[in-house]
Amino acid sequence: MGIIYQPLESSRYTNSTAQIPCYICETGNTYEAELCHNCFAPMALAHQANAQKVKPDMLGVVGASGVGKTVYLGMLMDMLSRRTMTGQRMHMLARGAFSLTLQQTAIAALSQREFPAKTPNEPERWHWLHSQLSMVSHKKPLELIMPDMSGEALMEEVNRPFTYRGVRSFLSKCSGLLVLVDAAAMTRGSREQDYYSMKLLNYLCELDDDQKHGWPNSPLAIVLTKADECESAFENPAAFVQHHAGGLHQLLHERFRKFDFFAVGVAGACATRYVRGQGYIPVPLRIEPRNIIEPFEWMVKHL
Amino acid sequence: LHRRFGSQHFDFQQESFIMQNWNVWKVMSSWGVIGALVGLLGWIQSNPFLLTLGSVAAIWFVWTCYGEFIQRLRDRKNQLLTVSLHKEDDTLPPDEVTMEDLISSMTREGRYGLLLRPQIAIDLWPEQITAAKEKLFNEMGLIPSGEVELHSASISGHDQRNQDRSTTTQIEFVPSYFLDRYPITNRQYQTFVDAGGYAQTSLWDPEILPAVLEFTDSTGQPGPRWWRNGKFLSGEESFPVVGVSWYEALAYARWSGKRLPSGAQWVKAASWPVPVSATRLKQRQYPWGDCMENGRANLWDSGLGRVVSIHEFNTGANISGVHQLIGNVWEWTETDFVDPQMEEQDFENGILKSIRGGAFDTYFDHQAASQFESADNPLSRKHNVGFRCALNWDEISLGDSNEESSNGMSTEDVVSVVHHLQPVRPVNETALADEELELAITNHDAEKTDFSIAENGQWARTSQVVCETSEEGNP
Repeated sequence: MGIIYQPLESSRYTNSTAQIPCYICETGNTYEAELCHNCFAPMALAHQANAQKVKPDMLGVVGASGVGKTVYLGMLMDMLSRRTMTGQRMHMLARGAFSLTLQQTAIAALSQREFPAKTPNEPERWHWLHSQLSMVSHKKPLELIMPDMSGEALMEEVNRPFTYRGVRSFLSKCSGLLVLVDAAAMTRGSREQDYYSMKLLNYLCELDDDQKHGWPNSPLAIVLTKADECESAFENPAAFVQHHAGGLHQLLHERFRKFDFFAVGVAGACATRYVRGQGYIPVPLRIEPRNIIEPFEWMVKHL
Repeated sequence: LHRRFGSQHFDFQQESFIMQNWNVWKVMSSWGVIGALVGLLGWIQSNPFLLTLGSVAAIWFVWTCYGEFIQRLRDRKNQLLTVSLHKEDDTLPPDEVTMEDLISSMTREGRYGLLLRPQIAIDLWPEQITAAKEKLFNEMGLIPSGEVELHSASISGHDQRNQDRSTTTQIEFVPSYFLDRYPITNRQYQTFVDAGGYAQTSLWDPEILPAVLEFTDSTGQPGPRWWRNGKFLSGEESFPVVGVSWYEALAYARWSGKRLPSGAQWVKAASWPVPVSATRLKQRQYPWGDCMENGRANLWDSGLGRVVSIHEFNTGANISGVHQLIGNVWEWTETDFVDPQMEEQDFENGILKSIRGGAFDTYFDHQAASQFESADNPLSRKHNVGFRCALNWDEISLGDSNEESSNGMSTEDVVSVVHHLQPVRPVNETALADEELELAITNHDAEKTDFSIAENGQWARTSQVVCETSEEGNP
């Protein structure tokens, strides 16, 4: 009579009992956890980092609600993934199916002449990108994590720290930040973008103001979005910010060392249309991305 | 010298001759007076010597004056001819340009649309008609008449394929018309700028005149947005002109005797519909077929990322040889942008004008398809929006071929018409009525008369001068 080896059922739970730290907030989670129970970041980020034995860099794309973070990230991802290494400098490849969801939803909406739906405030519903960036100038590809965070959640965290732990943890670990500012709103005379950006930058300095390794020495790209509605932003972004957001301009020069200004546009033209029950909504009449890659390229260069 | 201006030149020249050579004239006239007095004295005293001396002096005086005057006239004539032959543009003042020169320069500048109007063409020489027609067929493709399906997708954002929700189909009949084979280039637009097109108020709608002063280039001179000092940038002469508003495009079209194509006309040229049954049309997504092919149009996927010359991407032409309908630059059309799903066009931006064809930075291929319609503010001057012009078949005189069918011609007629165009009038009847023609061709003198587009979309005149001088009346 032969011996039958039967693994004990309890041994199957050994993986579950080991705590897997979240890649964003380093809180321990069970192996099967899909999202971190603390910051709601996907645990797939941690699993992929462990499996590849590579620590991805984190890049933040932040800005006020409605500034165009989802559109920018989706378009950036799509443009870089459509490019080929033969003729272009960079190529991005998504890691994991979850990384493609943002690109898919953003591009599907834009191709139908709609802007994608507003990112919800609940962190568990945010889209996270984990991608591999290949560059002609680098032999080894770069691993990047970029979340699409809600502008309102960001503002809430800035106003009341520790409200959104995921935001705080992410910004603490971020290597660089693309601060999106609505150029069209600034042209219309709104100061909200100026105040929002200044609050955010002050919050970053509070997080880590070390002159060598903290935010003052980290790269900041000030990205003017919706610049297709104000051509002067394309011509001289720095002068545009100085003219329309003097506070932000002064703050940057006094507290930060690595920063630059960019203007981007995704829609070639927009119409503002009245819809009953919804009020006036912007509609992209056609999609013509301009300068989308430049701020990202500058950021990667300064990481 | 031209017979119309001869007397003016004579008076001016004589006066200037006398004034400039006053000292010489004083001496010569003194000798002439002395000679005449001597002759008179000889006649009174019956002295043949004095009479002969005085007569010789008077004859010498008259002969000298006459010789000088004739020499001056010859010099002036040579000077005028030299200027006419060597001056390439058409900026000569009206009093120094012959009518023949004016007509040939208009033909050269692409303003044959004006020359071929029936009431003007009737007064032209056959050679001039032939030259204008050659230019027309070289520069414009003939789009045959027929029906075209227009798919209007709602900008509320539903998927275009889901036609029952968001897309309405409308069938429109388009009479035959000519469409520029290429978008208007910087070089062509330079001619318009140099001719003072921005200063000719008759070319612009009255309500837009305040804005015309703002239609300047980067140095403040009248012209497209990215020009400098009223000139296009070096090396870009064959690039489509961009940075022009809808009104500037319209002004150019009026100046050249053409118009902007309507949306239906543009789609007709790009999709080339063929009736496959009594109720169904087979239309193409792109001028070459139903699939996007990167080498045929300058879109985002072609990777160039900039406007290119009109002579590139030749394989993207439609059947009648109209190039770059798809890609490179968007093209203004005459039509207002209308969302079929909206009961009222509640755009906060006001009226939008339809643009078609996509540009070098159009990201999605389907947004450059022949049916896709985008829009922009008519005052906007974008880096990727240009235009081309159209000319309705029934608005021009091409001989007997187009007189019978007012609603255009079928595809079968196209080739035959091209090969059988005849001059409008027999040679012996084409006496050039200079004065009538001078009144008709008045874009050099905008105050007299000009063409404009009336509210019903038909050509109309702002002056009755031409209509009165035309034998056949207004078309």
